[in-house]
Amino acid sequence: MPLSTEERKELYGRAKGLRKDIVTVTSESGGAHIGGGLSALDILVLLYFKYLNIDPENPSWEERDRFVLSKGHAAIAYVPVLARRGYFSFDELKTFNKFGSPFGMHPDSRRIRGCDASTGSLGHGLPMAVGMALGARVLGKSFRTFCLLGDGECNEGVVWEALMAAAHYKLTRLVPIIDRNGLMIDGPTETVMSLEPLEEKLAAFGFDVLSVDGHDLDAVGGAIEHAIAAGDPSAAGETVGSGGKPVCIVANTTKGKGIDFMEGEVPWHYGSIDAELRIKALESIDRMYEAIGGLA
Amino acid sequence: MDSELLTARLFFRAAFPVMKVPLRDDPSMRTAWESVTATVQFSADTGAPAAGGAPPAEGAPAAGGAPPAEGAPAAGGAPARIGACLRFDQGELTVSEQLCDAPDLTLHFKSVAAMNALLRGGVALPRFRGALKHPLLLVKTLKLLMALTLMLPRNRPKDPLRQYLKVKMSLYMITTALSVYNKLGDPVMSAWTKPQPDRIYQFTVEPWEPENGIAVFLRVKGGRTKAGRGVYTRRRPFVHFRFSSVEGAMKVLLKEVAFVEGVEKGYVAIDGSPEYSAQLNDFMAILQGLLT
Amino acid sequence: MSDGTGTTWTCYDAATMTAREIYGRVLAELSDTDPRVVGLTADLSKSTAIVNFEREHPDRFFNMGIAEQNLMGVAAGMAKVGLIPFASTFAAFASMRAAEQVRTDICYQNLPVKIIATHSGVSFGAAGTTHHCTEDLAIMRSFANMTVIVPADGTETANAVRAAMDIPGPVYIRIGRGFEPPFYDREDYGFAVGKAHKVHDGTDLTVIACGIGVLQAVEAARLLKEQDGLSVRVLNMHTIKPIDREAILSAITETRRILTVEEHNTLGGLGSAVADVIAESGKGCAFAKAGFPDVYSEVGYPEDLYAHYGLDANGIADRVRKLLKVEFEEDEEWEDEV
Repeated sequence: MPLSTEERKELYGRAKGLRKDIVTVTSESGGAHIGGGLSALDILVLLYFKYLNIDPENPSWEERDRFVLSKGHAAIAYVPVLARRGYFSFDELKTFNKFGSPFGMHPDSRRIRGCDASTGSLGHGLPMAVGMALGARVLGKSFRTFCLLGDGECNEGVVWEALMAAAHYKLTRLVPIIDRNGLMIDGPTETVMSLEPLEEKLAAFGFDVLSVDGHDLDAVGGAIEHAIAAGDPSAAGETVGSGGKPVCIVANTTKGKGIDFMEGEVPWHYGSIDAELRIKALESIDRMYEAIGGLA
Repeated sequence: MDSELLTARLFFRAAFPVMKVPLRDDPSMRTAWESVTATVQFSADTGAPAAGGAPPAEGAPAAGGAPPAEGAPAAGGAPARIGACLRFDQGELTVSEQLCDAPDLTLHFKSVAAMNALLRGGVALPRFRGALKHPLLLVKTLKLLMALTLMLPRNRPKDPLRQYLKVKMSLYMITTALSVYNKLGDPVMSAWTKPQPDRIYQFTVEPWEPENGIAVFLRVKGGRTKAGRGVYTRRRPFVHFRFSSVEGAMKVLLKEVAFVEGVEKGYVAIDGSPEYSAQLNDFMAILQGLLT
Repeated sequence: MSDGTGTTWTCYDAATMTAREIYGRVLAELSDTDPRVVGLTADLSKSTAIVNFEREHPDRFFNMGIAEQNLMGVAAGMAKVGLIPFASTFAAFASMRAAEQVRTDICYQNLPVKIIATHSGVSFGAAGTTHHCTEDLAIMRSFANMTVIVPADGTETANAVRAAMDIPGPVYIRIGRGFEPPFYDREDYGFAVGKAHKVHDGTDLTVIACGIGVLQAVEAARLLKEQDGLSVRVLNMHTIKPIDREAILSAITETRRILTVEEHNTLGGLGSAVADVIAESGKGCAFAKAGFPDVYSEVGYPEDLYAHYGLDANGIADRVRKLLKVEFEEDEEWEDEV
């Protein structure tokens, strides 16, 4: 089990707090991509509170692990994570969506401390992550690059160009993670433009594919550890684990996870929360975590 | 066009207007004319028969009125009489190339050649009309005519004011003369102006300032020409003659030094096409030959 | 070995190198001294001559395959971790296929990616419109933070590549297929980004040219001097953005007539950039643009295409003569000032 009892309690606690943070910021900002933010949140928690080798005191530290939020509209989940991780004060998120704010629908790396790439236009993140991983090799650095994509985003051809390049260049220190919540703006992914069989496609592109429940922190943590192991060079300087194959994690998630009236609902791709819904949302989150055992 | 007639028209259109310079810049002239309102006519008989017979009496307008358009013969041939009308109005002068309606004073020459001779600084006696009625006007007019002779090569003034007047008058006259010469249709001049795109030939006495500075230009474009005063600002000059000072300009204009020497000695600098500046110099020499 | 269609590079002249070859050589030199330089291409290593770099620094060269969008995204990512990527492909693909990546990944984040776009204009003659690019200057100009340079020949390309290293943000350098004749005979003529180079002085009219147009314009200027006695100024406006406003304003006030020459659509490129300056100056100026008149060009050898569209010396000379006949409003007044 990748997580100790203490860690699990702490991380689930974090995730619960952040789900509530997402509700807060969404309700105060007038609207956000809350559905896709909630489906991605647990992955973000594991990365930022356990696995990423980062230093919030030193966001430009050259040896740090990189993270690219290719599904940039999940900024509603991402920036509260950065705040709680210590990059800036949570209070600053009161300006979310307002004129002149660094915080909005999509993250701006020029203005948000701790953000490694400006994303938003789907498909752009993974190629940049490939560039970072290749760059690390040129510079002789050992940092890792994680990239979180949406599943609808995988309609974009350039995503597959990047996957092809990652496999070709054996970028085992690059870990693409796909937030497979099954929904996009116009409906379920399989109705609009089907991705299945997704894992087979990724495997055919040269990846070692791990498919996990994206809200089970142990499962996601295990997958991340497997990916990290794949990127560790042996004494002889060769990659071990997957035999030179990079790892891709498909996290099966629920859009809107934690707020029952949003879960699996296409319209909650983007929405606003009034005072009444806010209460309901917070109550729903409480119920979610009560149902998870072993956290008390 | 007959050479004397051409020369006369050059005097009328290029030389007479230069009287404005002493009128404005010579204090004694200014004082003399500031209260005068009068018209003075210069005229000469061409020897061509008037439409309808004998030449009209002096002072009366020629039958047919104003002279014909450039180059075009009058109905029935060349005019019998040519003239210029100088209108003085409290120190302001307007020159028109036509006979006056009712001039206060007339200086009439029996031939164009005679008039040209006088204007070149030689000796010729006109017939005066109105002299007895306006004796002061006559005196002032003759003084003004004398002022024009400042431009002659034999005049080498020493005092700064007269040097200034000479250079200014000469440059004003020569640029206007070049333009008029082209407008009157001289074939060599026309052939030179016709193929040129928009070009400025600028003459400046440095340092130039708008109030009292001396600067003139000739604009040449596709066969058309225009003489201008001051520094042309709308494009860089194609050829720019820059005189280092009034004295330097004098030396060059008086041909005390050859142009090349003038450049060496620093009296004048020429920016721009050497071929075209030489060609312009040639035309200036032709005109100086006609007018002085 | 020569391949006239230009799909692979060849030596135009053993003694003088072409733009692409010089680019590859200069890049290799730069990377000898600067460890941040990396090279990238989209399966056009030989065609863009970055193969020289590839040979000398194989560990710093990456072929991304025929995937230009990924190429530019990867270049952005590499720049993010502190490298200076030089990304080469054909102009059509750099500016159009990967336009969004150039704008959103590279320009928006103001990253030091240097894009070397080859086979621009119609220099890839025989390949036809799909491989031509007469729109890239218009596109790249419209991206904030981008510097756009069109070198006149191989020597100028070397200068541009070196200068690009000193520009903190993204740079787009646009060159031909490598058969372009040399214009400069030495490198130290005073190349400076953003400053036009006056390559021929004159007062009757100014020709503002870039790329292959520079040599042709100077030839035209000589022609016009001998045949028509005209004095034509020629400016090498190698930097389209930021454009040298001062040089254009001088041309307006000193010559009053401007003709632009570019291997590009007359809409949106050098001509439009110059027209912006002229119009904003508020001064009268007769103006014309030589380029592709909003059409896709024919197939043909580039030299034939240049002649057909009036972008060669004779074509430029004819346009100059035409432009000189344009009248200004002030031309009504021909009375001598007396």
